[in-house]
Amino acid sequence: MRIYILKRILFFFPALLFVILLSFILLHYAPGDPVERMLNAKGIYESELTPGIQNAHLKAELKHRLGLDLPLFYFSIISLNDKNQLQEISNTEWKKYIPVILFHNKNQFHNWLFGNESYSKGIIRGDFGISWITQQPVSAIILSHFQWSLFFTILSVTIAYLISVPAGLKAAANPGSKFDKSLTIATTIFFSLPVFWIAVLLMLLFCNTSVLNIFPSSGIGPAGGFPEEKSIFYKIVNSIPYLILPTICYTYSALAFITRIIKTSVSEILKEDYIRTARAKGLTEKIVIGKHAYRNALLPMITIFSQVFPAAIGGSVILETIFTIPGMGLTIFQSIGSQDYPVVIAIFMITGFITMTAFLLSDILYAIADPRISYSIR
Amino acid sequence: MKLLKLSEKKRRHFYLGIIILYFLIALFAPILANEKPIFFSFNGKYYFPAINNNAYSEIPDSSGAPVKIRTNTIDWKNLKADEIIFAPICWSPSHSDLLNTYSSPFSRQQYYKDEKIVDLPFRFRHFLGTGKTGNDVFAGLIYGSRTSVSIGFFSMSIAIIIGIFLGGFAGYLGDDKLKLRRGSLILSVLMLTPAWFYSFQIRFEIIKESFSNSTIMGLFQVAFSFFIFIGLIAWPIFIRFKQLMVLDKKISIPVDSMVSRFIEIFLSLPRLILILTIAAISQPSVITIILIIGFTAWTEIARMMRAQILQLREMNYIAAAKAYGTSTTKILYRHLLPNALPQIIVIWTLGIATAILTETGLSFLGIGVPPETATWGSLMFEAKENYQAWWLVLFTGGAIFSLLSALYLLGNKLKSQNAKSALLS
Repeated sequence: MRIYILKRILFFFPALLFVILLSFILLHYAPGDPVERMLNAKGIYESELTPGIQNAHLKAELKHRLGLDLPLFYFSIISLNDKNQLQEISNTEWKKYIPVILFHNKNQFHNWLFGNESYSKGIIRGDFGISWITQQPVSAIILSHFQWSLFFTILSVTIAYLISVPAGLKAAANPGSKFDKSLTIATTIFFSLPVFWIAVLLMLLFCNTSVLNIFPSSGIGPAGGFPEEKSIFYKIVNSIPYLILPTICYTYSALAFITRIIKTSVSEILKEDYIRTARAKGLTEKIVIGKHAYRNALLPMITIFSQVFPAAIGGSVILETIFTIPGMGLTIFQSIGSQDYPVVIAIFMITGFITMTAFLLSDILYAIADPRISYSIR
Repeated sequence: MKLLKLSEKKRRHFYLGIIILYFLIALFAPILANEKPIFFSFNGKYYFPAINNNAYSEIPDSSGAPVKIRTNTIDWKNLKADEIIFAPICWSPSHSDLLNTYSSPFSRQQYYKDEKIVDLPFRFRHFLGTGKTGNDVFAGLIYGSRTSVSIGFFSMSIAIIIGIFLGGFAGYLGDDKLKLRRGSLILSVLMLTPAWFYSFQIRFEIIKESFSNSTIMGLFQVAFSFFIFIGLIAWPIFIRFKQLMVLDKKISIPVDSMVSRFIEIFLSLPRLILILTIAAISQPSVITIILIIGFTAWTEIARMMRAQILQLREMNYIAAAKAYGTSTTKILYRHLLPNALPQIIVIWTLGIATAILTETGLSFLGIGVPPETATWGSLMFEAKENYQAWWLVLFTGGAIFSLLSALYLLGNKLKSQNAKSALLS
């Protein structure tokens, strides 16, 4: 088992490298010139009429400071022709077809990953660069928005568990019953209802002045914020109406998934020999299901948690956009709208990292909890 | 509740019927909903404007001689004609009917006739209401099903091809079946740099140019480069090193482990955020969305294919085929693939539903799909902007829901039963 865990941790790194490389490539090929965008954000525009020399100078300086004039990666493949051009040697036609590998000690990828002396500390130390629009550090932007995504995720996953565990157990205990059948139909319906439809439908019913105007339609608190002198209790009570509709939608998208998995895993376990033994011993059905089956059915839930949790953080883009919740999803949506690609890529990397860590943790926990599983990786 | 009493087989056919109906609607969308009439005749001449997709249409002037006029300036509803046949829904999804913005199916709808505003006759009504710019909802739904179905179908087709290839090879070759000479392996690794150079770097300008012409030509060029690349790294396999025994020794390639690790890496990526990020960075187009979803959705198919092949290759009939001297490729596509296919089709059905769900979500956010394309997601977004427009929410949601639930129910039915016998019945 120890070898399995070691192996599993070792395989974490290629995946991490893959995400990092993919993010770097995406960031590099994102449309728009970062230097120009940053100058624009500072209020320096290059007008077409007066292509100022000063602007060109500023640009070159900023480019050098950001390290964007360096080669892209540790090595590059160019033709002999291009290499000669760099060294100002005359060319012939056939040299165009000869490949040459060049190695670079200093390059953009290295600086991006590990930081350079003057400008950034590198993503390995949590520096994801600077937003092209607001000029703030990306990590600060994400940190200030992360809490709401986390809050809704934990709340909704908890509620979903509280509802779906009893439901799944009851359905698995009475296979073929009316409850089981209706639960199957309900989960299928839940699966095929897009979450944004439910959200819009709820808002149409409950935030509509001509139907029912119970809940506010956007935000997580009054637009002007709470008055300073009010107590925390007042603040919590008054923000509940803002939280109800989003929580319903968040919960609903996790509900069907968890219910179905619990039902299948419990009904698989109920076929095992030791369940029959327990029944033959004369134990009540309650103990058989609640104690023997349920405890073993808990194991797959470790895996579920590793899947639901990242999906909720990543998949909340639509919900956060609909309800204007200032979380990661809304941030990525707004950044895409304003073409602020460093923020987009940083959120992609962070969600990727969370997802991979969750997978790793769940695999290790699974191995510890159930020593019977085979030690070859999935 | 009548549906609940139907037999299993009939229910399956019902779901299949819904799916086929949507495919047909997607296929015949231009004839089902079009502001241009399908056919009209004037002075003994016949015209078929709906079939023609040009910016200019040929219509007769008052004397009857055909003239070319920009299509979007023609007032088709008041066209002078002897005989005229309109499409069942005589509106195009992009046509903005500014007299009837956000008009409900039952409200008063108007249009210009002889320079006066009059009520729309029943034939020309917006049966399911209109959206923000007076765009017909019914036409939007029909064309939206075209976008969704084509994205679901083609992206999963890409996924199925990648999945079957990778999963099939991983399952069949395992960790010890593929053996290469040590020398060939070293040569192949050494060839990586030149192969990249000659296939992609030299042809970079050509690829870029063809992408600016059309996406399909660009993809064709990329595929061509890819073949050059594969050819350049694959040729050392056929070399024999007779003098050097060290290089001539065969070592096995762990194909199965490699593919499994690759699948694991892909599985642990946040798919939705990845799709969102790539869609945001690339040019908005339907083909891009198809490619992104296709290249991220293959993992499930590859896993299933691998598991199926692992199970099937131990069967007796495969041993018999081997003893008979059947070649590896023939065993793969003649004996293994057809038997693994039913399970793959189940995953394909469920995958189409997931792809459509992803697409509607993306177009709801307005990311990835060009704004002029009619999609279910963009209709839903119009509903979000105006809470009075219940018809938008209801009909769009109903369209998405009926297709997705048919796909999910059919997929689950096939999954729970023996997929093979269910498909054959």
